Amino acid sequence: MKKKKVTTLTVIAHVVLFLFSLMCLIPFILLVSSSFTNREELVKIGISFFPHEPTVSAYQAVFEHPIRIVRAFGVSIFITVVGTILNLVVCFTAAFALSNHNFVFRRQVSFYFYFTMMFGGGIIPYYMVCTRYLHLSDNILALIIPPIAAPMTIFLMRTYLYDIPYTLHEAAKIDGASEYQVLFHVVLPLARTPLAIIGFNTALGYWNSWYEALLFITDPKLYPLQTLLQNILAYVNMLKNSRFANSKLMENIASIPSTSIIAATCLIAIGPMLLSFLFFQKQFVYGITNGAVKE
Amino acid sequence: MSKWTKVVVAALLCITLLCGCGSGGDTSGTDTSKDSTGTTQQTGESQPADTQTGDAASSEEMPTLVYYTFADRSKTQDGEEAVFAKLNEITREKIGCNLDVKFVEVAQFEQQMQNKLASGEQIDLMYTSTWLNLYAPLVSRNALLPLDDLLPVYAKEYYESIPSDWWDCTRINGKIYAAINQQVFARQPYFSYPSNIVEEVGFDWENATTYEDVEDYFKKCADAGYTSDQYSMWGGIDGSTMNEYYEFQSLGGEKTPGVIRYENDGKPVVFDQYESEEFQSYYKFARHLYEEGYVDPNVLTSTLEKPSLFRRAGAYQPYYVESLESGIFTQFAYEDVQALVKPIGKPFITTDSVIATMIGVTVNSKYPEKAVELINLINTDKEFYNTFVYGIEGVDYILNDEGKLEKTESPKYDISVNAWAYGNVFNGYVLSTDNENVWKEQDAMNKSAACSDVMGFNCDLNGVQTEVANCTAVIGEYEGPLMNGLLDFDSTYAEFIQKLKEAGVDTIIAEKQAQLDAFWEANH
Repeated sequence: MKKKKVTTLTVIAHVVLFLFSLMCLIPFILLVSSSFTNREELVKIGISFFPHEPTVSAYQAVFEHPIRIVRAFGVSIFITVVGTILNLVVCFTAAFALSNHNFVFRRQVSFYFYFTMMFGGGIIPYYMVCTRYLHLSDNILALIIPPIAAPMTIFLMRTYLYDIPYTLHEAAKIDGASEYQVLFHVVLPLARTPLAIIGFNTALGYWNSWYEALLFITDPKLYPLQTLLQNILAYVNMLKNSRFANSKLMENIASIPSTSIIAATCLIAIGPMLLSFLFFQKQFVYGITNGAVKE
Repeated sequence: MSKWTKVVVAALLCITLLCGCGSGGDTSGTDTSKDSTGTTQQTGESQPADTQTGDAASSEEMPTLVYYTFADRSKTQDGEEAVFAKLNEITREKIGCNLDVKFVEVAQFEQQMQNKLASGEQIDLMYTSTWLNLYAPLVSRNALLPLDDLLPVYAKEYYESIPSDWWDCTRINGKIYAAINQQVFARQPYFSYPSNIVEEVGFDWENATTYEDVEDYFKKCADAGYTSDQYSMWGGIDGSTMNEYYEFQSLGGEKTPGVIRYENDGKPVVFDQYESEEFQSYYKFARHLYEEGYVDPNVLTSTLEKPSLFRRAGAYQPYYVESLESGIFTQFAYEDVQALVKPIGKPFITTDSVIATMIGVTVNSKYPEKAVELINLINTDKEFYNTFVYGIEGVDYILNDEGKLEKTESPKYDISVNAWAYGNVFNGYVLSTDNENVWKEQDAMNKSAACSDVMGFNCDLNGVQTEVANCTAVIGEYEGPLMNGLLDFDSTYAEFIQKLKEAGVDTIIAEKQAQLDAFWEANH
């Protein structure tokens, strides 16, 4: 075992990183704590690190009318799973083609992909393509298809695949393997790590995506979780700030979510990703350093 | 091998291109075709939504109007089909067209409207206001059609029912770009008291018209053994309520410094309300109340929980709000305690309150004339309006013996919370909890209210955004505590004003005055 030297620089770096991680962590802890705090305490004392009288009433309130949330969960899980799988298939095969020395136009096609990273058409043309030509409005595919071929992912993957010695391809081909067999039996098993990392990132992207739903979805049955949350919050704000606050509204204000309910809903929304990160973490850290160093 | 790859790639590219062209060619207008995923939007009747081909091919086929507005979809989706079917029956009979209502959530509304407008999708009618889908920017982007010529012809009844003063509020560069949804525009300050306490302590509430008069009520309550959190002034007192109490008119945001007072020659002058003698004397008075022990020390934090304030100890506080709206007198009853309400001062109307909820006809409209006819229908036809807001009788609501509305236990469709966003609220059914004359009284109040002399003036503070943000921060820090007497006036007031000056209050006032002068010159 080699012992590492402690230098001033590492001490400073550690302190800075420690402070930075605290800055990331504290809001999260406050979120967790406020979801377990009751309304009165929040008003009187405010948010504190440890609620004086912990309560799960906020969570009870969220799940009192569970249909909306359960449905939104279903939509989010569906688009995350299906979207990630499709995304990996598309990106992996594209990257394989681009990394293949036999592919004559790989530079041109790479440039074609690369170009879309640099220049986009803007929101309006994007919207028009999706609604008019692809007919994606109020369609669950609107949440899956637009980000399906991510150039960034393709290039990451391609860079990784370059590292697989081409002699392996050739060896397989000499043994009589077709291009597909090379892809599935030689390259794919070797590319598990990048697939896991890219898959996790993509899944995170799908789970947190809200913009596509904002643009294309008006049917409440198709709201993913993030959109549902956003809609609830916006509606609450509208009621609170409304200058038309009248008698009917007063009744409704009593029933709108308080801070703790909002915090609880947020936690429910990020929960699954948080858990899966714990499982993926090992792969994740390993994979990132793996991709970072190229010799 | 490489040749094969070339051929395959070339072929694939061609296929994609062709596919793109193909689907683009035959459906270039509408986006409503793919509904296989079970959307509830298309009712049986509104199915001929493909108006693109409809009006060109056969003129006898009815046009379909597309109307975008906001709603909480979780409260409507189960009942939409039936409600929209009934609305379509009415529109077909009365104005000869189909109606496709599209509800969008508040959070999505602005973004979706921008994209739909820019991409040329059909939108005949669209919600616009001073707080959502902002009116002035829409007009400056040329997204709305001027309605001056259409309204008197296609919506005569509605057009004439609105006083011309109110129409002036919607005018930008002299033209009307949106139709006003009638609601309670007038603001009426008042005090309210819980009847049980007033009776017990014997307070002459009918003659109390100033805060100084109300002090007597506090004194009597304290003598009778109530604690300050049971009777003290509601914590929502801030600059905007005080503006109305002293009849100062706010400009460009309630909480920005700079309000109007009229000079002797009738010309409006902008001044800083926080420096005014009126505000100073109120701050001193509030401090006096606090020192006497009449103020709940938690008054500021409790504002977050408005409803519980009404309910606390089965009583309310004397309460001052900016408006006297829909049945608020009777609705203030909780747990058998009636509210006693004493209006003070005169009701008045400002530009912002009139244009707070409107419907515009967009440039993407295919049938502007029909759209204006629909505006007329929404605002004059009671059956249409009530169906739109409350749904179907027997399913979503029932009318009781007095003809008042009671919601069913679990209505499938109910957007009455936002009734003010869809049309003339005075056409709505009266709720069973409301006084039966509630709409008549409110209409009368609207009509009797004093209109601001600067109706139609819209203050644009974009040029002084930094100063506004700085001042808002300072005001947020001092205003509440000063208004409620929590801070000592003598030691903190000077500091407050000093910080306001540093934040650039004078720049804001000068900017407001310059804009107002320009408006005044142009209109007088």
